[in-house]
Amino acid sequence: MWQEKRADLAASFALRRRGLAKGWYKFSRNPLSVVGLVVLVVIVLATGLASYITPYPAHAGPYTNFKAAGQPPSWEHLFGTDRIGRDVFTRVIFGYRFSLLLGIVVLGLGVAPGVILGLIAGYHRGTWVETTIMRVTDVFLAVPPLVLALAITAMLTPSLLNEMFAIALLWWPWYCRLVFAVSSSMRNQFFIREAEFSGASEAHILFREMLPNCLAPILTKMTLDMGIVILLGASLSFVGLGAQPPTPCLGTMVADGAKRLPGEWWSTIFPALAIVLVILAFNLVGDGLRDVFAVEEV
Amino acid sequence: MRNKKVLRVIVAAFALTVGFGCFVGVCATDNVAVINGYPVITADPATASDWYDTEAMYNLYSPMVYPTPDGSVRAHLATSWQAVGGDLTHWRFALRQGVLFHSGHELTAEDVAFSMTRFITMGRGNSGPLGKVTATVIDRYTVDFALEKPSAIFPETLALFFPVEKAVVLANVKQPGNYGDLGDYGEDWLSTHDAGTGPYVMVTHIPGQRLDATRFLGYFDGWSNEGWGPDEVPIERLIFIMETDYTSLMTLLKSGGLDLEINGGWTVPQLTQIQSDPMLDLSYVWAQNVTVWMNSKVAPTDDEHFRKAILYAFDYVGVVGPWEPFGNGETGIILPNMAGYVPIEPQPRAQNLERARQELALSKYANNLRDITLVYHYCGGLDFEEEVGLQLQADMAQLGVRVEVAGPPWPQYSAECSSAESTPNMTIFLFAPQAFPTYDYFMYSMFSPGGLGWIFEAHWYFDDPQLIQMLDSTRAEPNAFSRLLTYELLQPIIADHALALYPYQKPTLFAHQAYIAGPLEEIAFVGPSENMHNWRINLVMKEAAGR
Amino acid sequence: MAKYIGLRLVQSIFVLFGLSLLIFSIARVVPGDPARAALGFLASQDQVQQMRVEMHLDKPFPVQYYYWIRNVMHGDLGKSSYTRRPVTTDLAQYIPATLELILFATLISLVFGQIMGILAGYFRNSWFDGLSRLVSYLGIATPSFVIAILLMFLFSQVFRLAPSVGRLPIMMQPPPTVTGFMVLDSLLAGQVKTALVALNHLLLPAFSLAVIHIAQEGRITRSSIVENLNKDYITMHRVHGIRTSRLVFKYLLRPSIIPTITVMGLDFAFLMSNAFLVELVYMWPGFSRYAVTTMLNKDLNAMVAVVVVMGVTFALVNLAVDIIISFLDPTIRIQRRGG
Repeated sequence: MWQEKRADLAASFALRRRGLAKGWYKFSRNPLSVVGLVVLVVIVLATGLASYITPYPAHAGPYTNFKAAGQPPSWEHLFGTDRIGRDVFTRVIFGYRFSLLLGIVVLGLGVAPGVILGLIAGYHRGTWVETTIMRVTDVFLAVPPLVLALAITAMLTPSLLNEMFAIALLWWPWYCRLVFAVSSSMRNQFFIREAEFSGASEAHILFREMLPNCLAPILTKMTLDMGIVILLGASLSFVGLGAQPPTPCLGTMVADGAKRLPGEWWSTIFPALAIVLVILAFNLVGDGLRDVFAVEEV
Repeated sequence: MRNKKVLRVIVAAFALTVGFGCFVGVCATDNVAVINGYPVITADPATASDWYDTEAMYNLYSPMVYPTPDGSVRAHLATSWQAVGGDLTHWRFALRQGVLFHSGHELTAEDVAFSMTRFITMGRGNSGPLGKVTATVIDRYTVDFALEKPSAIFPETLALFFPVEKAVVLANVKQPGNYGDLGDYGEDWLSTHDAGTGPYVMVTHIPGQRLDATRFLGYFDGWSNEGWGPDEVPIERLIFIMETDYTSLMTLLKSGGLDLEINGGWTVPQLTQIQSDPMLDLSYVWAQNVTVWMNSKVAPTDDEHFRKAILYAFDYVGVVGPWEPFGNGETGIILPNMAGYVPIEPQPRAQNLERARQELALSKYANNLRDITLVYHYCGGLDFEEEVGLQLQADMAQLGVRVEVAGPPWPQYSAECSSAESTPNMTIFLFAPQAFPTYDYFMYSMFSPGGLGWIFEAHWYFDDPQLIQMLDSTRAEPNAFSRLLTYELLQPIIADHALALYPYQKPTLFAHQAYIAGPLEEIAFVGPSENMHNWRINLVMKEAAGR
Repeated sequence: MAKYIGLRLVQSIFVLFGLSLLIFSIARVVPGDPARAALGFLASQDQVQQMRVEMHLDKPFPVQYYYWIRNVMHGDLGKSSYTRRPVTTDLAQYIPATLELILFATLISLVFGQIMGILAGYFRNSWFDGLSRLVSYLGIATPSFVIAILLMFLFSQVFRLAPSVGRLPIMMQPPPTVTGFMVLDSLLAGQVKTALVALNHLLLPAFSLAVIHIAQEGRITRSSIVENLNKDYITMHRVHGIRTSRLVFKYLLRPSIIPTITVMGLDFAFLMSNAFLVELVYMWPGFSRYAVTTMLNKDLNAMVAVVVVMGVTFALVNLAVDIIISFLDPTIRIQRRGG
């Protein structure tokens, strides 16, 4: 008996491994996706080890040295120093930490309700439930996210937490719409009908039958969205509505340094390029995943 | 005949070229000054409130009395004034004769009384400090004002009262409005037109964006050349623009597209650049008192020793840093350039961690410093206010106290200061001398329960009866010299409560083209220094500069 | 068709109503003191209180919303507490400037996107194709404000090729306002030089906005061309010796028009929101800069109006795109009827 089970398990592992190998093959066919993945891994590692690999970790916290302000790039300060006299390179690496955190928290908060509502709306296609959910979704999608995010954060005390909250509030509708599209198309398919007839609960149908079939597009969209969320967060920080000092925040650094262009170009150009790099990496990986899952359009 | 025709063609072509050239703005040595620093939102004297508005007021209108370099006032629209009845609630003003409005009509007591009633009824702008005032016309050139409360400084507060022309305002009232028969009291019209007596006449005004004005030849104070150089002539046209991006402003200044900048938001490298450019100049007229209030009603700043510890822990030298050559330096309860300034603790102005630790040990929070968070709020977007916060954060970290620094946008930031409970531990403000008289503004208005409240008194400390009594006595003392003595006595008493940290005074640096001359009179008050009657243009130099 | 449009309109109105309620509640529920903001510095507490009453801020939320919607029905969006003018006056002044910028950016992205797409598609897998792919990736990954700052730094500050401040030099007399479009108005007034200068001022901000759309449209055109290049009829035409240019424009470009228009329509609203930060960087006196300024100043009436205007624009553009596409592509029309 247990041998059988073990064989089963081994088989499923083999299957999974084969699936992974096949996925990796598809993913790695596009060299750009691999480059994106490598960049991403490097960034994640760098943020994780920021306290050890950056030359002046103290510069990410409460620290001032106005005498050393505005120094150009040198071996001592790779990316120069800012108007407070802090090392820009150190702050860029620490800044990634908050960008990634923002992306993860926003998607963590935003995806779950969006997916659940989308599943419910898809299951109850054609009823008032669907109408209510989807019309409310329309309201949130009626203007570009930056506009609403600005309006909401402008009303709150600016902080990283409120920024996350505001963006998350705007993010669920996208997933709701996506999941609705996928799940409503499978509403009348055989396996759902079968589950219904066999008396499965609604929760079972939603989460065990429908959800697994939506995972591929959700995962792909999440990877692509990481870039967009980081971009949006940077935009909010750019107008001063994001994380507060001395938290190193890439958008704030760009805005801050922009006041010192063209003289102290390093304090704005390097953080700007850093933002581009991380978003680019997420986009490339997202594209790769799209190939793997053969997702048409998300 | 033929020659004439040729000549005519040449003349026409020339005229066309010049006309076209001027039209598109390439006319050499235009007598015009482009000035940045006026995000003028309202040009109505009854609603004008911000310092930018005041600057516009001084150009378009004339105040009743005019601030002088020594901090008092001199005759302007009013030639003399006196208290009637002896209890300082009733004041009589004699008006200057022959003052012309921009319409060409003469200013009379009727206009002044109407303007005061309008000012008080609308109850906005700078009318707050006046309380309720009733105006009565005595004769064509005499007007009486009756006050709610006695005030020895009432005449001086009228440096922020700008009479409008009654007939013009009434002719442009919009119905319906909040004021019954008087409709909107002319508010809408006055936001894009003027009805004043000032040295310049408004031509066009796009609120918050641009204001164009031309010189008023009939200005009652005249355009005398006394005190000016031979080539320095009055500026004919003014264009006030509102830009806050100093990178772009720098580009404009360098290319000659900007003549004068009076907001002074430059960065240190930019200032150095301006200083080293022979085509540009920097002038300094008034300084702002950078003030960090400490809220005495919330923990942990409710403890006097804790507040003192902050004063000693702060690194004054460090925060001034590269700003020192530009005049940032010591300040106290009043500005150091004002007569009667008394230096306050700590002296010398330097960090003293030893002393800070002693004070901290005396405070009731000595044993649970780890649980304490000191909240410091600044107005979002202001770099140097943020820098002060970061300096404080770094300094207090050495004492083991956590400081939370945040910069909410202005409306929220200012709304927090409407009550003691919602005011953060520390709030930073720049107090430019923008209410008159300046002494009263920095003392009574900021420390008396009858003061301006809100952001002006975000320390919320009104527990010292002796202090309050002394402040009250300044408003009852008609003799300016005796008042000054009291002000001197007051400063150490206020300082002893450690209600504010004064990081430094911040001079407002006016960057301008070298061919712009001024200000002739240095008056440490917002408005008069930016009155363009006080500035001139050297067209010879401008032409030589090729601009 | 008419029924379909009618249905869409009703839907849009519902959405806009919801949007106004959403933004209105965000604006009113969170604490802050718009009355103080409207009054200014030296106002006393009494005056602030009086202002709160005047602005209906002392009333419960539904009553405030009722007042607001009643006024909107009369074409009154309230008074801006920041500019102290009617919001409608502000909008009328600022919207044309943004519209001019966006239309110019759309034009740029259309022209450059098509050129890039055609070349990349026709010479696919060449170095140019690789380059265009790289540019597209970068274009999509770069926030508009970063592009704006980079372009300003490079082309205005390092190489002084184009100005980076406003719509016209300060000293230049703007032409009389007819359309609100600086270039058009200058031409109408016969001032060719002003028009050229205005065009020059448009260059950098418009390009900053266009980059991302050049990237997207370029990719769409490319893939459409690649797809059709393999079709038999193209090979046929080639065999018959039709000129390449004719081939490209007549047979290859046409299929890419529909996705291009769809994307352009969707992009229009995003252009407006991207303009939020680009206008800040270039001090462009437009709607978007007004929007950010009023939001940061907690100017309730202006803020609600700004969001609703964005919503209306978005809805209208989407509707227009739907209509245009259904005319261009009969299959969609039939599908819609069926569904």
